[in-house]
Amino acid sequence: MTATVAVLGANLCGWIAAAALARRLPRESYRVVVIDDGTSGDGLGDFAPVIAVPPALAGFHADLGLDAATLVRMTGGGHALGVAFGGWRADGAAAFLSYGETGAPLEGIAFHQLAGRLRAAGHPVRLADHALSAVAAQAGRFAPGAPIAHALHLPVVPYEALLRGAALRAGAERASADFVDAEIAANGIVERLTLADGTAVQPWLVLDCSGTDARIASRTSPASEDWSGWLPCDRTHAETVPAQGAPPPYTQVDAQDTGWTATWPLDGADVRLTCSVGGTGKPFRAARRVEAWRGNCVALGAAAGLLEPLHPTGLTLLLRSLAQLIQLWPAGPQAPVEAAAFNRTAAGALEGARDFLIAHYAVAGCAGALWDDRRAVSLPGPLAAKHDLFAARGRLPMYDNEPFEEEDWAVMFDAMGLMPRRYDARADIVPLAAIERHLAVQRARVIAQVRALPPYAQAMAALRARA
Amino acid sequence: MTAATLGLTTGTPSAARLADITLVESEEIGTVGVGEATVPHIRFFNQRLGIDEADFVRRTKATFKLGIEFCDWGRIGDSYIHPFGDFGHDIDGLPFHQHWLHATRGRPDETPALAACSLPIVAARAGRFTPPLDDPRSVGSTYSYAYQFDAGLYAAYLRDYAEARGVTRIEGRVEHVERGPSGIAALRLADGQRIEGDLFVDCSGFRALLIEGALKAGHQDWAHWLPCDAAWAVPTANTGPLVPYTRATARDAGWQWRIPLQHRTGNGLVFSTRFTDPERARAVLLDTLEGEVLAEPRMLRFRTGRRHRQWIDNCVAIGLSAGFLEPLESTSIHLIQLAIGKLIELFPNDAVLDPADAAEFNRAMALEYDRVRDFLVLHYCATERDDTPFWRHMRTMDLPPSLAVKIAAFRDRGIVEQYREGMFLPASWLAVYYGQRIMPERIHPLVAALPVADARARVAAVADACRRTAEGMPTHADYLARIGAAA
Repeated sequence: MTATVAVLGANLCGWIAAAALARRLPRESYRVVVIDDGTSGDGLGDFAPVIAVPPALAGFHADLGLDAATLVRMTGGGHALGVAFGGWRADGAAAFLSYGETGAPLEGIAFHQLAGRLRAAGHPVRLADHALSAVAAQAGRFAPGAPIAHALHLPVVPYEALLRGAALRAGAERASADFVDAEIAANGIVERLTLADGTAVQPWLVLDCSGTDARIASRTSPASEDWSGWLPCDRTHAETVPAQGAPPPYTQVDAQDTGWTATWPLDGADVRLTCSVGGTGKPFRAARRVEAWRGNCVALGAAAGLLEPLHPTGLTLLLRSLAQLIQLWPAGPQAPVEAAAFNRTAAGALEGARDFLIAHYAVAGCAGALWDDRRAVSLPGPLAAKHDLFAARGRLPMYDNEPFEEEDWAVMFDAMGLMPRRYDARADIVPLAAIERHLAVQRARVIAQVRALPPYAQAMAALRARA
Repeated sequence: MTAATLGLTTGTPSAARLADITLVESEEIGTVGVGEATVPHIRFFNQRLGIDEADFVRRTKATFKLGIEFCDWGRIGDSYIHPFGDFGHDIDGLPFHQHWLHATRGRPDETPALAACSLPIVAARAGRFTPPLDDPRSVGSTYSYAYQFDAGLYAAYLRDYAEARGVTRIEGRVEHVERGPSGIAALRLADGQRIEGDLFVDCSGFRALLIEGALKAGHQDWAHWLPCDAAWAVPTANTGPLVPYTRATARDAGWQWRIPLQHRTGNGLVFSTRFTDPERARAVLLDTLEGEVLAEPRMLRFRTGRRHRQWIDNCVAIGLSAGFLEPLESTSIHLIQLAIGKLIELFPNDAVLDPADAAEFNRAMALEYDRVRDFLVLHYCATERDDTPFWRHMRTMDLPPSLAVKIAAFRDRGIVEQYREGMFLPASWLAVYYGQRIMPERIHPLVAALPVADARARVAAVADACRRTAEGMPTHADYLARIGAAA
């Protein structure tokens, strides 16, 4: 007998889950059945018709036989070497967060600490000038396949179609009709999913990928934690506008009076997403389901928690949850030990991502009521500790399961304009001239690497010609 | 050692160091120079100081260590080794031990023991040692190692090192601690000297002269979970070949260590005065020694727990002044070196104290002590022993909630929690769980779905590679001789 793993949501989130599981589950024991929830959502928050796919998904794509060049070519997407933040700093300077590494340590001393020493000695240092991705982005140079960490901007509909194909090839199935209702027993176990054609599925495990509605998890595990006190944006509005000229290989995020606007460049068009407090657009709320896994239902994607798409955290967290689900794969419908372990890790990851976003607001220098409020709000404890220690000396306490690394935090705080009061004392042990030389050599190497890259528009034209 | 002060030269830190350092030490106060067993992190500490391994091994009479053998813990007669290394390797992203459990199904006698799938265990049992290889594809890279040495000689070695680099040592006994606006202003010594400083490091041991005596940090007592509070220590002459591991044998009301050094063996009995008396403990130790006794046994008293805060104002506690955990897993020196590393990372380079530095030091060190505590408690509670009041207490006591959750997840289906900070990795937890008879009730369902024959073949291949690789290693004594150390 085979057990049915029912994935609710024939959307991007659902097909990613189906593809990941169908590859790993033995077919003689499990069927992976994807059921359409009858909506057009992507299961990840429905923010825009394009989605930023972080570098962390490269391995997952490769396992499915999808390389980055194919994904971009088949979907009409683009590449992003990082995110340019416009208008976030008090001094008006641009801030660039790249997906790759920034600088290199010297004698075990972190790059941003070396920069701190140089700054104290009167040399201005911009961290982004030492990040290959950032310099390439500013120069408008990049070639698909170049060994530089990058994200992808992929239109959701064709990206979903490619993953659907991969999931079906891996053995996932599509249910015969749309989801109508779930029968949930008194003990919380989902026993039957009825479909529009009168048939039913008896799930052994349900993966609720139906977005913020969480059509099943909202009944099996209703408690949710509201985070809008820290992340008050509650409306998103997306539009696609024609664009002239060569698309830049990065995301632009500009601060606004009531939030921010992201521009995701595609070939011949820009997708603009405005995320704001109030105003027009689709409502949403930053929140987390307290127990993503309860009984035989696991909430994934926006059904498990939702954060504004300032960074592509949704897909990173989805992939981590799926890896964790494989590690904790249950043996039956009641799996309290597995669920507790899963929920603990998932909470740590989501809170870590949340804190990374809150931090942008807490240190941004924008003028206006919203921004004044954001700077005044009291931060979650672990984030307050991070902020205080970085402000004191450029170091960061790190916690279990958080998705961003210490360097990501340091570069982000620095880019947003939070300058540590002191630098690592060990940077004083290295002669100043040696640090200057280290940075100069690195900068020269970065420039040489960028010179060797073609203009991005030219590389994209070549890519499309391959089709 | 009485107290060490770090006096910062504000403004012009010299190129070679972070600060001007003065060490205050009294010869009148003895140090405890027992054989000391360590964990692999000490190698990175020594490397950072630029210490040459062969020179260090010769001068501290050190031996190499691949793990700790635990005898009589789960049951009387049991023996297992907690190795510095992995058991096999993940297969399709799922842990090796799950595949091993699957392989044992129905035919446990025909499957190699999990211990046979760990190269450092196989090598330790065979009395062999060689440093690991760099090639990650080779089974020869799947382990690490530490040292066993004479703690008094290591202290002398480090004193030479420090004095050669400008640390000033002052002989004297602290008589009075002068408080200042931000912590401690100065130390007044018995001979009238007054030592000022910007930062004070309290290495005064259990007396915690500065952190507790002057600054009243407060102490969290863990005697409920770890009731041992005393130890007898005695050196003996070596007998038989030098083994590359430490031994910890459970006794009626505590446990006994055996640490082989080049020139002698360190022994000791850690016990609880709640469950036995010192005379009886002394007798148990002397009755079970293997070699000739080289000195009178000495008794030490201790108190298990940690300070609520280890860094207050301008005072940082390092070592026993910060907390104490019995040496069951050789963590004492590691906790000292970890604290030194943290202090350097958070070093106040302009003599301005920032509360964020102390907050981070206290968070990180408390987490480390708490996680080591849980790991130690596991050794005592994972037992079937009920032969003495001590073991009946240990077997049935309530556990720290953080540990109870971990054990429940393993017992249920072999889940091992992974954490970002904390010295014991999943392989260490596995060694103790299996070594002390906590068996998962179920195995991973995706592993269970695989053919048993495949699991058996993979386990056999790993065990075979471990056996062959260990056979190719020199004996521990030969390796020591090769680097010029007498063995």
